[in-house]
Amino acid sequence: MDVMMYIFIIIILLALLFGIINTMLMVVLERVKELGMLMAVGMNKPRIFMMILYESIFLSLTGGFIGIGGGVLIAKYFETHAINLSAWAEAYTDLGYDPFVYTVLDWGLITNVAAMVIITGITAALYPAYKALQQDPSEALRTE
Amino acid sequence: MSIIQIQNLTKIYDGAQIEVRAVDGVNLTFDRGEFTAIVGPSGSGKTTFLNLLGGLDKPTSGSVVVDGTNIWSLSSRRLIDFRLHNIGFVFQAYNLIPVLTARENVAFIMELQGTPKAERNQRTASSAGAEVQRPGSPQSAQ
Repeated sequence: MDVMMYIFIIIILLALLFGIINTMLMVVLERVKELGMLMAVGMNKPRIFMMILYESIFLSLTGGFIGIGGGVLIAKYFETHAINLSAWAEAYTDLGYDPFVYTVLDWGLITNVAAMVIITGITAALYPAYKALQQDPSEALRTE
Repeated sequence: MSIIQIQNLTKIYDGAQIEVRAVDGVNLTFDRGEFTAIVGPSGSGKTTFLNLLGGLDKPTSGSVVVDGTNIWSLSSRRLIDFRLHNIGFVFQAYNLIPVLTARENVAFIMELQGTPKAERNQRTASSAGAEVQRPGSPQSAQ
């Protein structure tokens, strides 16, 4: 069960990875001129790299906190109010499951997922941050 | 005493069919404190020339010596540092950072240069019209 859970989480994190890469690439492409200006006035490459990285980390943290907060609230509610699957009661009983499902909050799992979300956010920002560094300031300043 | 010495500065863009000589063998010197206006029709190479002088665009040949430093012999990292500490830019389109206030925009370069916060605040406070407003806000247009 735990292995299956982690497989599901990895699939979701992969979707998140590509989602963040897409978002951060758009951030870089939409701000080519701004990045060019920052390079022109003397912002060095490590700072630009870290700026993109921080943006991605804050994006992941904000999304992560909202997601975990919402998830915990929903899970808390269904801890005491069962999810009623009695419409398929026969099938569930045959399989040995109770048709009334209660959620269980696993804080260890939540902590692991939060850590994985941050790691995914950092990983996803590496390529967009690298792309940002490839800008040529004079070319970037010419873009509209 | 000249602050900028330009020798045989050339910039050639390789177009699809013909090469474009945007800057062709310029030799010039600028003295410290001298005020110079570069004029010419659109497309005559003024921006390219200024980009070469400011260390933004790499020349095809020639040299630009600013205050004793041949800027195009510097590594890309040192060139960025040189621009930060020695060259000021006023962009045609202003290129302000929209999420920063006017004062933060003014202080931004000083922050990159490592100027302490107290000094930044003091210097931006004395900048004329640098009110704490975001660029584009109705008040900032006044």
